Amino acid sequence: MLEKAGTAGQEKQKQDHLKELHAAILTLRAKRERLFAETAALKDLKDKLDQGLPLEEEETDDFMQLEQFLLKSRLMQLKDLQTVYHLIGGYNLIESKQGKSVCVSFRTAFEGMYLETYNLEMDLRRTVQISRHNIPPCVPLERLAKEHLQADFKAFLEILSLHLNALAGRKQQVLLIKELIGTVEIIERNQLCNFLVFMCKIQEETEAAVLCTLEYGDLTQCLPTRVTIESENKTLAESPQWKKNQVLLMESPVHSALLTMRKVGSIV
Amino acid sequence: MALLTPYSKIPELNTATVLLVENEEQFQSRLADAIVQQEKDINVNVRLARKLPLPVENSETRPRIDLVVFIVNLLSERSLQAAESSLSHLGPDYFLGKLCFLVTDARCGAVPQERLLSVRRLAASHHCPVIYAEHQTEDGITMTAMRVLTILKVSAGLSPVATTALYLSTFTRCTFPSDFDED
Amino acid sequence: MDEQARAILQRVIRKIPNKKLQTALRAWDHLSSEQLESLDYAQPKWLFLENLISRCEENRLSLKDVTKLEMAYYIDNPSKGTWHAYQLFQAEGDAVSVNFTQFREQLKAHLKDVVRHVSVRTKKLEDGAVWIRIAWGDNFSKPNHLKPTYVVHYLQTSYVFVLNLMSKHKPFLYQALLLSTRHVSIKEAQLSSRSLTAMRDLLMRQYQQVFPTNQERTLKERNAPPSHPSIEKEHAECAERRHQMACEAFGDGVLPKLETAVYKLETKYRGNSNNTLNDKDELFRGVVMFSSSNLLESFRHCVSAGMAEGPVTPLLSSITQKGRNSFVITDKVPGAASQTPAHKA
Repeated sequence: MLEKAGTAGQEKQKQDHLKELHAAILTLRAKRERLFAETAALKDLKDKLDQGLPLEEEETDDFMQLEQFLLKSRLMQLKDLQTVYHLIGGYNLIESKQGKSVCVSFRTAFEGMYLETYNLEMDLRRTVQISRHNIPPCVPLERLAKEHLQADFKAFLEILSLHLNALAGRKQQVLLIKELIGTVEIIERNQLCNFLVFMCKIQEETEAAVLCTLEYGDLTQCLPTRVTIESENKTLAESPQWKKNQVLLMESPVHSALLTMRKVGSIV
Repeated sequence: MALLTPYSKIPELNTATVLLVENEEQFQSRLADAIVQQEKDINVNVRLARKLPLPVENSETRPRIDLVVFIVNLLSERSLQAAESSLSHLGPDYFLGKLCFLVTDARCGAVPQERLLSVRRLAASHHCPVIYAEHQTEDGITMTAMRVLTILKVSAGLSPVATTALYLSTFTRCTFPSDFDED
Repeated sequence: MDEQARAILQRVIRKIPNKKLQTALRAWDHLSSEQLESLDYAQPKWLFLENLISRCEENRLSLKDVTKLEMAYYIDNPSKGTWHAYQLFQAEGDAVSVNFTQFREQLKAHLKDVVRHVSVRTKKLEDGAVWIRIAWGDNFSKPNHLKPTYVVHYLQTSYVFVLNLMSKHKPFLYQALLLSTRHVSIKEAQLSSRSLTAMRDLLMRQYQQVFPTNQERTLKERNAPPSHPSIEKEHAECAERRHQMACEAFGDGVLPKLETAVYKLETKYRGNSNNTLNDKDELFRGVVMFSSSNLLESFRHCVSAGMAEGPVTPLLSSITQKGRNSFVITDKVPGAASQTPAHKA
């Protein structure tokens, strides 16, 4: 009786074990099927990739997407902020070489158009020193550094930025003359664009011409400090119309002054 | 200094990863292209490196590496030196059939014989095979890619051939003639 | 044409390769187009020269005209001979307003003040470069046109490039330059090269420099997508960093073609292997010279390919940073700070 019960128990145990094994087989089979399916899918994907076919956007996790969008919007916000700083004339200041030096970039603009960007790297280890830069050699950087760099760093950046901006502006004006008013012949200009001589024809037929000399005494400005008008015809330079032109050249950028002069018929 | 180990990560499904180490970075990218283009059945990842140890920053994203191939350019002395110094950054499990040397320019007359000999000696002392590759022709590269793939499939456990170590040990024996120790 | 004019003409014609003769003479603009047509440019140089001299004599060309040809040749071929750079210091207030006409007149006047026989010819090019040819004589002899000095200066900048200057003429040129450019002092810039353009680009920063502020953009431009998604470079970031470092030190894109860099060592020998060299009092003098067809590019490649360990030593990065290729390296001696070492090693 006891034995029988024992064998019955054993039988039951065996049965249970068998059932368990069956279940295991089933789950393993299912797992295998799943892996097969996965492999096939992967292979499919790979084939598509190899043939250069576009991949369909699989249903990605919503949460992941949300997080990505949030990050993206944050990035855009920061970029906008950076642009704002540039627009109001801020500098891009970047620390480099583990804080041993700092790099400043100056953006220049004239009449709403962005022009070159200049960079200046400064060594901060002992006293502030300029280590390298790509500022044009005609800008009196050495003098500015001597006057302001040690005393007032901010003032130095300020004045240098003014210099660079004015230089870019003057350069752009010369370019615009060439572009907009083809009849004006530039006789002399220099690298700093603080000295400009050009000749404008008064009439189409005759050779009569006026020689204008613009001197920019203030290097932080885009406007000249002295305008001389010369002509073989002495009375012309003294005429009220040309007196007006002289004032015009003093007070507005040279290309727009010339355009106005052409409009009123002083030059062709 | 972390050792590179083959079994610390779970393998991905139907995927094998090979690491090509070459100090000069000349041949590896062409070989990598050939390898990924040739294999259609399984997913092959190729990692390119100049030397070992690999940068720690990538360790999270790096898959389990099933085979390491040291590319030795016989024209350059540094190439062998770099491979030799990289060996010490490999976990011991790699030396059981998950490592091979690939030699280029072996036929070039200008190469000193001793250099080839020292590569073979180095490989023999670590019990791993040496492949000689022709890297100047398309065919040569394809052929090399095929041979690397064959080894890779075995070492990644994707081939129903016995065990890796067994397979490669036969390979190793073929590569090194018995008179090797005498010369 | 006198003997001297002929000699100069002969020299110039010999230097110009046959196939460039016609364009050179046309650019010179002293012979009529018929005369130019009538010359046979394939002739041997001596025969060609005979013919050319007869044409010149027809036009009554003088020494002055021939020097113009020579100058045009040097302007077109600025890589003949070794140029040296000089730097002007302490600009006076009106230095920025010096214009070409003033500069030319003053330079001529100041040179003639100190050297009675001197011939000066100037030319301003499109890019703003002022070329000056000076033939020196002294109080008793006429200017020697066979060994002229060439000077190139960009107005409003502090750099002067000089070719072929004898040391006895140096003070005269220094003085004339200082007075006409309104500066107080002038010094050798420790930069010399066969290529004038390379020196100019280097000193005037007319090559693409890389700064940490524009790093973002260069990184994006360089990061080409991998050829296949399954290929990944383990050292990509590292390589990128090295490349960035190399570009920050030497510049990006096409670099000025400098050929040499010279380091004069005036340091004590340190090392314990050799006792004869280890003399405590004597300096161990030596010269280290790097030379290459494009030195800066070679350095950049070495650093970016990982052949040289980073960070770049200031000894090398000073070439671009300070714009010089000749250095003297001395030991740092405490208390001797007054004679600042040319370079701190």
